[in-house]
Amino acid sequence: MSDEEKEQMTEAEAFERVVKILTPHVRNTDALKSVKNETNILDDLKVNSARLVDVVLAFEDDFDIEIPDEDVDSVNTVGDCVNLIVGKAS
Amino acid sequence: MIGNDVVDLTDPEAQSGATHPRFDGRVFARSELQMLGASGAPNRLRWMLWAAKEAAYKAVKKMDPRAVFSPSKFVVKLDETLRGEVSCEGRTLQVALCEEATSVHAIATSDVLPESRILSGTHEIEGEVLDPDLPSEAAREFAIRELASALHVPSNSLAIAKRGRVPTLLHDGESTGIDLSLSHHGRVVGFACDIGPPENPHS
Repeated sequence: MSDEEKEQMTEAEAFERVVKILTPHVRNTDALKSVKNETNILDDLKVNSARLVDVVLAFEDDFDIEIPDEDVDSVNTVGDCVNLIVGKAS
Repeated sequence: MIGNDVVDLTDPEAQSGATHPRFDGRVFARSELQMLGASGAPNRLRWMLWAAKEAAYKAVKKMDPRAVFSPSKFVVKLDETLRGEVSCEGRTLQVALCEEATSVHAIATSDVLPESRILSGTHEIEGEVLDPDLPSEAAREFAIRELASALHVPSNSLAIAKRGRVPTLLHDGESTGIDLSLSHHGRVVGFACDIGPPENPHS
């Protein structure tokens, strides 16, 4: 991802990419049909904690950012992911 | 405080190569990476170490709600009997791993407790898990069944409520104060609890 792309990334684009990365790890596929910023990753999507590590690593790869564990700990919802990523990528 | 975690080794997520290529580097300390490198069964060991870290974190989180799960900082040391310690930023917890053919179960305690005080177990859900809420319900039901038997009370007098993410055992609607931890992964559910000293198991 280039610096220019980072600058141009909107929350909507980040949301779409976040959901795409989460999708293979989601156990509650019904919840994906109505996924929104408020959707809880562990409780609603049923992504397990080990998979969350894979998700974070995929975010780092896809958005070319670094996400420390302290930041991961404060992420509960899809919207939290989007805000974290947009904040780091800007 | 007590924490537990279970990993279903038959689950596709737990198969060798299923994790991100940087997973091990992210979650394991150097000493653990060395253990994995020297192991004849690295995938099984990977999930034992992971379960130990998760179990320890659950116990720490009860003591310190501000605790952060930084897996590589929860450093696991195991002996040949699969007992040992998990160290994290000045805290040391006791850990014991139970190995089954298709799962691993870790139990971590903040204090050294006699085995007689710890009630724990795992159970495999029969059939395919189609309802995503089924594993957590099955974990609660299994724990209640086992606890009712151990405490000599009817199953229907016990219930498990949640305070935040922490399960609380209720007896006739009242908090028992029994320290309880639930877990599930794939088709396997588990629990661990400190039932207290023998003379006063309900306190």
